Amino acid sequence: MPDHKLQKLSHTLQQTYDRHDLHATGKHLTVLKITLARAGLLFPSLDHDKEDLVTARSVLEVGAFYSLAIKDVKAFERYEAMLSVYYRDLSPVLPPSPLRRPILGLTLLSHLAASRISQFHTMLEQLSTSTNEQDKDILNDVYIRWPVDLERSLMEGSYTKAWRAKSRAPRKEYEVLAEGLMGTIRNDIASCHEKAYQALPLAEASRLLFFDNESEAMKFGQQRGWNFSPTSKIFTFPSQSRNGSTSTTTDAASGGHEDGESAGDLLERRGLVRKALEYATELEAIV
Amino acid sequence: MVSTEAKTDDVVMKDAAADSAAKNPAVVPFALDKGMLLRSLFQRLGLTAKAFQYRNTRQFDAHSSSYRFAGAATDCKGIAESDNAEEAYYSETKNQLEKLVGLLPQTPKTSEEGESIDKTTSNATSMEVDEASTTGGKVAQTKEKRPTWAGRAGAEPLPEADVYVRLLVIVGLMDNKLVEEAYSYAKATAAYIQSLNRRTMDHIAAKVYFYFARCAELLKRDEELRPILLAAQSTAFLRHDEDLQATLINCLLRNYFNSHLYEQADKLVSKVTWPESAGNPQSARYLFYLGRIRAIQLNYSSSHECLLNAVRRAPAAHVAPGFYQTVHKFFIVVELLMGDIPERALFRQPILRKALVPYFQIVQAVRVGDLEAFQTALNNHASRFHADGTYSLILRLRHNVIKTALRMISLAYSRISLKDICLKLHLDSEEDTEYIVAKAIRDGVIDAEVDHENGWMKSTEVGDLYGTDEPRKRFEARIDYCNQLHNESVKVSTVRRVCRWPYVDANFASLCQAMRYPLNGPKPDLEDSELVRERQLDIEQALQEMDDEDMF
Repeated sequence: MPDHKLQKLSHTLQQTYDRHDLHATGKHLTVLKITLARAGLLFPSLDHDKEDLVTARSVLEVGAFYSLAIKDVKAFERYEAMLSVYYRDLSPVLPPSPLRRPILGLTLLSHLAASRISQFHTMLEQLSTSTNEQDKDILNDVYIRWPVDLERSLMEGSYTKAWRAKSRAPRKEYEVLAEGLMGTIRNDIASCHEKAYQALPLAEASRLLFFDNESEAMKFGQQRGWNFSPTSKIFTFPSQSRNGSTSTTTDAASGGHEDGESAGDLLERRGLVRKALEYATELEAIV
Repeated sequence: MVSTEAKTDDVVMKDAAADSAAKNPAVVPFALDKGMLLRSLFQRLGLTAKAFQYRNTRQFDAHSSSYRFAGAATDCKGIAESDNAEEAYYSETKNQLEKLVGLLPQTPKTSEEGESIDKTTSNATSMEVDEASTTGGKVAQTKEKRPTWAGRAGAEPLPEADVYVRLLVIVGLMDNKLVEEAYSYAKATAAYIQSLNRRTMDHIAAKVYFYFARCAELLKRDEELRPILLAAQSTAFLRHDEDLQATLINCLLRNYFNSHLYEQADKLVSKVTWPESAGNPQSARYLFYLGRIRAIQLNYSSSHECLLNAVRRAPAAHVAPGFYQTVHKFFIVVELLMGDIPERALFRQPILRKALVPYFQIVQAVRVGDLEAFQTALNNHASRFHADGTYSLILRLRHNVIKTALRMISLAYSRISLKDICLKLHLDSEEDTEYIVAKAIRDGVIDAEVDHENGWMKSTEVGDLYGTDEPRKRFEARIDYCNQLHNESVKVSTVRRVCRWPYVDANFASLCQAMRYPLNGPKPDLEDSELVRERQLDIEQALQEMDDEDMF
């Protein structure tokens, strides 16, 4: 027996969301969530009415999109968790939802943005090996493909590709999550540059870091502690940790008998002695 | 129940029942040797079988109406006969099996009882083990009556014998493609085992559950099976039934993998502790699943370790070629993902050679850093990789190919323009090349720097490696590995567990040979660690002093 009240409420919710009236949508959602909880639909089972389940699913889907529209990523993850039950356990009885793939793609992206790479890959593995009929070409689906491609170009280091992908986002909700991701990308690039370059002109730096103007790039550079000479307009990167390990070890090898010994040398020697002793005891145990 | 009635009217039997009640059949010596148990079990089975043959030939006519309620019994007889035909190729055990088959007419009755027990225990609240064991005792008693047909009052059969026959029936049913029947029968048997709670049955119980899970898998009833297995797993844990635990964990993992629920599998692994006493085959399976989970989570080093151990613990390659091949497929991919290249010899092994051809092509592409060859190999064998479940892992290899290629370039050229790199690697744009090179430098893949103005990459000169402590560290790592190996093998040989180490390379193998420990020879008093530590401290102090003297 379908719940008419629930359906009516969900209908109005859909309408307000379609009108992009975010404030009203939020209000409706709160009411609906209480209704769902009362009907036990937040923890759905096969005993519930089929139509009610479909309604509840669409309410949650609207909720997920709404939470991204108001930039609440945490809320989106909560909605996604509730939806996963509908998508996975109830999939044999319910008609497939057209919004399932966008939601899955967004989840992938949210994992990526929060740099939960292992979850990202677990989910991807689950999707790509799925034998489910409706998931047949899911990896070629635009909504899923977008975050997957993004991840691949990030791993490779093709940051331009990743940056450009932003403008091709398949839904506007993707942009909200991508925004956070771009900050991560920028930091990533900066850390690469610190290692790879000795010096970089300001204009080039701002281009490589995808800044619109040079003053932003300068601010960013100062935040990361780069040296900037105003006359030549060139960033020089502090080379603190470059080939640090090799230099200290060569010192240890050559300058062992000098008076001014560093703590590292002492440690080195202790380590050697300890190792030798370990071998001695081991040998004793064997012989 | 009719049949039980029919039997109890026999005089000899009543005596036997009284006799056995005094002996309390539910108690079996705890430390009973497994081999002995099985032997005695077989003996008893032989006896009971004889008894039944005797009964069938001589007394069947007399009691036929009361003993057999036709339908179920004859059904089972039919199955028994087909069983017999199917398993005839077990020529050695054929005789024994025929005897066992003679036992089968009793099975409908016992399964009925198993179900009735199932009902009583499920009605009862969770922890009423007492009640369950008394019903179990009752069952044992009713079974008690059967062997007396042999005319020997002292030979009471064990429930183990009963379950063992049931196990054979399940396997027989499965061999005859009667999976549906095998499933329901295994389910009843599992419930029966749960109700008995006997430690001596652990090994057989593990087997029953294994076939139960296998039936469910064949029937695609994974979801139905999961709660049953989970419940049995927690019970097995409470009862310290390590055999069953190990089997059930593996069954559950397999179940999750079949349904692609990797997250749940990971959660299961994090919640359970793997029983140490589990046998090598079960451990190998567990390590294989664990390795796969870790590989999906990008934890390659731990995955590598798991898969390597899985190979080591697996039965010999020619015994279980399927497992050996499958593990190696994952092993190779994970090794590539770690940035290592698998040894060439691996692909020459006769068992692996054919199965690993697609992987060999991938390895070659990664080794030389040829993106194009990689792509063609991937496209050519895509369906194969999909079937193996390695496809998405191999997709991740793409940037490894790029990294290797970059490393080759940076070794070969002291200075090269970014444009040339872009052309060599078949990358899409020069801009991206700059980022990729920068990233490789940051990740420590290559030792170089980028000159942005001139648009080239300049490799930094490689210093003298022997001037650093790198060789020492490598050497230390190897010695540590040897030591660990030695200690473990001493431990293992003391428990007489056979372990193979096919992956130890020649040097290590000869070293181990040299260090081989006499099995029962005098052992160093490792227990005397207190003394050892003291001595070590002494030596350390002495050395320190010597060192100081040296310095000044």
